[in-house]
Formats: sequence, C-alpha cells, structure tokens
Amino acid sequence: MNSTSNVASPEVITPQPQNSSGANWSLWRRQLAGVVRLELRKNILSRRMLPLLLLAVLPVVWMAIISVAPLSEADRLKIEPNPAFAFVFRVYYLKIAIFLSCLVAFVQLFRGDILDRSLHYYLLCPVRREIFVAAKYLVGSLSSSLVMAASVAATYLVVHLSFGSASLGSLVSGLLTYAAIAVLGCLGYGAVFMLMGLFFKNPVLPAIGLFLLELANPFLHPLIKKISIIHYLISLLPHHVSVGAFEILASKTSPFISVPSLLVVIAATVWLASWRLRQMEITYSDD
Amino acid sequence: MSLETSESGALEPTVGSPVSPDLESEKARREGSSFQKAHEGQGIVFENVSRFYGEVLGVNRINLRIEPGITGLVGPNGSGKSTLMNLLTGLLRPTRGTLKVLGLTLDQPQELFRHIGYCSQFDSFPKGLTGYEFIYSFLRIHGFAHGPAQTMTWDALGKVSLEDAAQRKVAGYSKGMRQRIKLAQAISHQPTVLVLDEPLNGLDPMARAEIISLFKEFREEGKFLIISSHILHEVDVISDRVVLLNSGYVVAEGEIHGVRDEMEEHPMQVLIRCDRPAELAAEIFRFEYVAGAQIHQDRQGVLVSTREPARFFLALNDLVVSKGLLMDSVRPADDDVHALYEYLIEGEGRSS
Repeated sequence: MNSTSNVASPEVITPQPQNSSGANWSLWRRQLAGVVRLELRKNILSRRMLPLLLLAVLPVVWMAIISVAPLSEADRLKIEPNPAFAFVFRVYYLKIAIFLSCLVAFVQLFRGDILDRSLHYYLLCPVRREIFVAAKYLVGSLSSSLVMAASVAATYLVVHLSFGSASLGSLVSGLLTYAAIAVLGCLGYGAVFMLMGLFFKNPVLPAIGLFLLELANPFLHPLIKKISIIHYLISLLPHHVSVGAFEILASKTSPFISVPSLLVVIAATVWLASWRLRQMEITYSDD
Repeated sequence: MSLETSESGALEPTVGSPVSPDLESEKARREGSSFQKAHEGQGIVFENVSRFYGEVLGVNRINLRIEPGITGLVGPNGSGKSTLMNLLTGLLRPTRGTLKVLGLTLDQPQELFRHIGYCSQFDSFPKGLTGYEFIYSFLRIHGFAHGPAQTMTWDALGKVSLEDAAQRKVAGYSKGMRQRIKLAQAISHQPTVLVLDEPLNGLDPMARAEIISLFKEFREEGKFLIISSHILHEVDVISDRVVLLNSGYVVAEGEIHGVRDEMEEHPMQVLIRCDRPAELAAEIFRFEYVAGAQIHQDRQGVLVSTREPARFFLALNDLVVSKGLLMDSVRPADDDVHALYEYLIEGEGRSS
C-alpha cells in the first residue's frame, strides 16, 4: 500500500497530555470517576442487587419478628444481646451473607462484561488498566459494604433495643466495630471474587471451594486457619462465641496484625487483577 | 492543562442543539492536531505479524503498510479479517511480529486508544444505557470533562442521525440503529484511525448511503478507515484500496486497478456496447492478443477478453473509425473487487 495522498492533517481531541513525570493524576481521577459513574449506573439499580438486598434484609426482619414474639419476661431476660448478636454476626453475616453478597457484587464486575460481550468498550479506552480495576473494585466495595454495614447496624439495633439496656456509648462502639468488620469482610472477599471473575470462566466452582474452606475454618488446624479471611475477621469480634463442640480453638490474632494483613492481601489481589487485565485479550467466543 | 468545566455529576444530557466546544476543548484539538503532524507519514504498519489461536491459524506473516484513506478488507468467513482488526485495535496481541499504529505500539494503550475508534462485529452493549449515555459515558472514561463530552456526544449522534433516539435504551433499538450507535461511539472521540467491522450490516439503503457519505467525509479529513465488508459492491464503491485475505494470508493488496493489472494470468474483460456487436465480434477475433469475444446476453454488446489491453484499445479505435461503428460505451467488466475476489479467492478454492 504505497499510494500517496496529499490530505489535510486530521484533528484529534486529546483529553489531556501527560506531564513530564508521566503521572497525570488529574486525568486519572477523571477517568476513575468516569468508570465509577458508569458502573454505578449499570449496577446499583440492576437485578444483580436483589440477592444482596435480600441477604441484608433477612436478618433484620428475622430479629424484628423474634423481638415482638410473645416471650415470657423470664425468657426475655435470658437473652443477652451481646452474645446473641455476636452469634448472628459470626454464623449468618461472616459465613453466609457477606460471602454471598460479595460473590454477587464482585464476580460479575469483569465476568459480567465478558459474558455481555461489552468489555472491549472499556479496553478500547485510553485508560490505565489499574484504573479500571480500582474503579470497579471501588463500586463493588461501595455497594456491598453499604448494604451489609447498614444491615449489620439495623440488626444490631433491633437486638439491643429489644433485649438489652446497654449505655449509648457501648451501643455505638459495638455497632461501629461490627460495621467495620463487615466492611473489612466485604473488601477482603470482594478482592478475591473480583480476581476469580478475571481468572476463571466459571468462578462459581472456585467460589464453592472457598465457601467450604471458610465454613470448615473453625475445625481446621490453627496454622491452616490463618490461610483464610474469616480467621482474621473472627479475631476482630468483640465477643467470642463458639460454633460447635468440635471447634478447634486458636489464639486470636491481634487487630494490629489482622487489619494490616487483610489490607495487604487486598492490595496484592487488586494488583494481580490489574496484571491479569493488562494481559487480557478479547476472544469472547472462548468464554 | 485541564478540561474541567462545570460538573453536573449525573448522566443528564442537555436536550437541544450541541454546545459549542469551549476554549479548553479547542486547545485540546490543537494539541491533538500537533500529535497528528508529529506522526504524519507513519501510517499503520504490520511487520511479519502472525497470530495463532493455539494450533489454529488466525493470520500469518502479514506485512502491510496502510496509508490514510479507505482500505477495504475483503475475504470469506474465517479468512482472518476480524483477527486483523482485533490485532490492529489491541484486543489481540500478535504471536509473532510487530504492529505500529501512527508510530505507537500496542504497549502504549493510554496514547494509542486516543487515536483509534473501533466499531466491532459484536452486537452487544453495556446494559441499561440509553444511546446518549452509552456514548457520553465512554467519553467521560476517556477523560473528557462534562461539557466537551456532552458536545462530542451530540456531534457523534448527529453524524449517524440518531439524535431523536438518543434518550431511548439501546436495548430497544433496531439492528440498524444498534449498528449506527456503535459507529457513533467509535467516532465520538474523533479518532484518526477508524476500524469498522461490517459497518453497513443491517442498515437500510438510505442509512447506507448516509454512512458511506460519512466515510468519504472522513477520507477527505485524512483519516485512516479500515473497513471489512461482505458486500463487495460497496467495498468497490468506497475503497481507495483493498486487502484480500484468504485462510489467514494476504493474497493481494493495493489499489483495485493496480491489483487487477498485475493478474496477468486472467485476461482483462472489456464490455463494448455498440450498434453492430456481431460485426465487431467477427473483426475483433482477428486480433492475436484477443483471447475471446462473445456477444453479450442482451445482444447489445460484445464481451472481449484480452491479455494486452493497451494494444487492444489502440486497435479498437482504428476499427471503430474504419467500420463506422456507433459506440455507446467501452468499459472494463472485471476491474472491480468482485472480480478480484472471484479470481483470487474463489478461483483458488476451485483449483485446490
């Protein structure tokens, strides 16, 4: 193709040139906001959110029903709000609700776009892949954390206002602690599920494997327990509750180790997801 | 430099005529133009590019240099057209070889994708968006601020005549409208290189004419358009040059007439329309460089095959004068993409 042409130079609009250091925070911030805006538009009011909302509403309704159930005064006094809520939090929220809601919110972040055959629109944008990963992770984290933290707070208040008479200070402190653990759980499981969505064509199978591993965590050897997310979340609980006679007790990990450990795992996972996205090719027929 | 203008934050378009580009946008235009000048003449270069899907060949040993203008990619299903386009747009990576677009490699996506627009074969869109939101959202992801993004969105919608349907969900669009909104999205950031995979699919004749006219407009602006199509007649009408692909190999490339001229094994066919075709056919047969002549089906002309068109046309002039023939037209009958396709691809299929 060697034909010559004398044509006018075409004009191109460039969003912004990079500065001399190569970093362009202003542009990256706008691009991040652009992806977040689109993802919120796509996800927040979508049917994908329904399971998440159901998981969040269920314990609140259940606790509300129990609180208005016709119990004798003696029975009512037997229920101690702190251990009761700790049990609900550990068994329902940590093992089921947060896990499943993160599965719903994060696995589809990239896998959904691959299945919809719309990921190429993103990859054809002049955007660093890390920005896509960060933006999508942010949206998944926001949606799951907000819903789960709100659910935890609502359930906590229902339990304590119905069965307890704690001071306002301890009430708020406990509420914030549980909400923070729920958020940390969403961030941790979310990062893992987002990665699964990028690496596996059918992320449900590895997710089931992880679910069983996390479920079996109380009965595992103390050393193996530490290769999990739930162990570090349980270590942060303000009240210990046993989940069965066969539970193998392990020493709690200090919050000063638990929280940074989880954050390091999250950062590594997000970095790995970015690396994977940089390597990704679009061959939808393979998916 | 910043393109920040007033931030509404929401995906709410301003209904009405497009907003004039602001000063910042104009500044950006000039910077984009200076990029183009800096990269002028570099074109799109494939150097020994191969792509395999495991054991399966996608394309092999592609060496191409594509200049500004409209380049038609022609070939049967599975010939490697889409693979070539996906390589060009960075959605696939070459197994071997190097590929540069305006001097940029695929390892520079942040720069490269400012200059590439791709209307892919995938008839799919992000869920739940209106036509306006679809284009506007990706312009924001490019990094454009609200004002310029809004202007460019309406501009792109106008070019494909979809302003009236802008606020409807893409999911409710007809096939032709979906094709047009994909095209609008591909051109919305005003790229220099446009890669269009079957862009005329599903369009009615009126829309086809409009889009072809748009392509010609882009050609006048000096953009690169790489278009694949099964509709050979349209490729013939709009392309400055063609790349013929078969089984992952480039079998011919260049300007259509140039490629045809180089195919010496196929005599050129010339259709001559005149008042006495039978007499003309009898006379023509006497020329040694005429491989064959037959009366056309409508009996109004003669179809001549010749290996030496230049000598033939000279002799034809003399013959017309000496016999006093009344000529209606003389034109090549196989100097188009359809003929190239038939000789190079279907012919090869028959011979193998």
